[in-house]
Amino acid sequence: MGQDRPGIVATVSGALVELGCNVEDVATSILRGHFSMMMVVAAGDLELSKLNSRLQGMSDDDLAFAVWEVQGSLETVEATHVLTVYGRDTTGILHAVSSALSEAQVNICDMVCRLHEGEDPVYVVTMEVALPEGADATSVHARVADAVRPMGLESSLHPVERTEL
Amino acid sequence: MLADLIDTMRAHPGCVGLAAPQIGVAKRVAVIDVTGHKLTGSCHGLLSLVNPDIREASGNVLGREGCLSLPHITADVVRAERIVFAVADQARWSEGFEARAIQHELDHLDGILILDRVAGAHALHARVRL
Repeated sequence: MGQDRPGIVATVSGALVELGCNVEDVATSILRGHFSMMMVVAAGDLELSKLNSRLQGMSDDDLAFAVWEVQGSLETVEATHVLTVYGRDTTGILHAVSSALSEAQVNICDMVCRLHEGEDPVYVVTMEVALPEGADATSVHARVADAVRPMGLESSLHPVERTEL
Repeated sequence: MLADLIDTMRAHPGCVGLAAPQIGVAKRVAVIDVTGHKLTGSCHGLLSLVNPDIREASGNVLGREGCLSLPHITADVVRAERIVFAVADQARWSEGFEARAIQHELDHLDGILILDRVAGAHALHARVRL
C-alpha cells in the first residue's frame, strides 16, 4: 500500500521474479490517490523471512507491506446477489449494513461505497454478496432494510444475473 | 399530465423517457420516445403509456443507463432484449434500445431506480457530463 504513482506494480513484481515467485492472483484498488494491492504468490521453498526482508527493503519508497503464509487451499466465494443501499449520507451506514449481513452469515464478496455529488448528493453502497445455502433472500433483505430504514435509506437485493452463452 | 411529461422530456436533451413519479405524480403513466437516438434500431415513435405492463420478456443485455432522477450517476443494468408490452390489452412488441427505455420507465412506476438494478459492485459510474 502507498501513495499511487506509476511503477509500483513493476517494482513489486520485479522483486518477486528475482526470488522465483509466481503471482497467481492479484486484486488492486486506488482510493483517493492511495494504491493498495493484494497478491497470492506461490513462493516454492522460499523462506517467508527472505520474502519479507526483500519487500521491506522497498519500504523506503513509502510502500507498506504485510506478508503471511496461506494455509490450505484458497476457496473462491461466488456472489449470489447484488445489494444496494442508498440515500443521504450519514455516519454508520456501512456498519449497519455489514452488521445485518454478518448476523445472517452473508459474505461480502465485493463492495463499492461512494458519495455521488450533485444538488442532492446520494451515498450509494453497492455490494456483491454470497448468501449461505438455503438462505431466504427476502429475509436477508428485510434484515438489511430494517437496519437502514431508520437512517432514511432505501435498499434492494436481487440475484446476480448470469447468461450462459 | 401527458403533455407535461412530454414537454419535460423534450426539454432535456438526450432524455428519451419520463414517468409520472419522476415529476411527483403517483400515477402509472410514462412517455417514451427514442426516435433519432444513436442507439435506436426499431421504434414506435412517441409512446404515451397509461397503466402499462410487460407481458413477455426475452434475452438479457447489459447496458449503461442514466436517469434524470439521478443526474450524476450512470449504472450498468441488465434488461430484456425484446419485450411485449401492453396498454389496455393492446399488446405490442419492442426490442433493443426502445425496449430498454420502456423497462426503465415502467420500473419508475413501481418505485424502482437504476440503483436497484445495478449489475454488480462496480456497475455504478459518476456522470461527468450532464
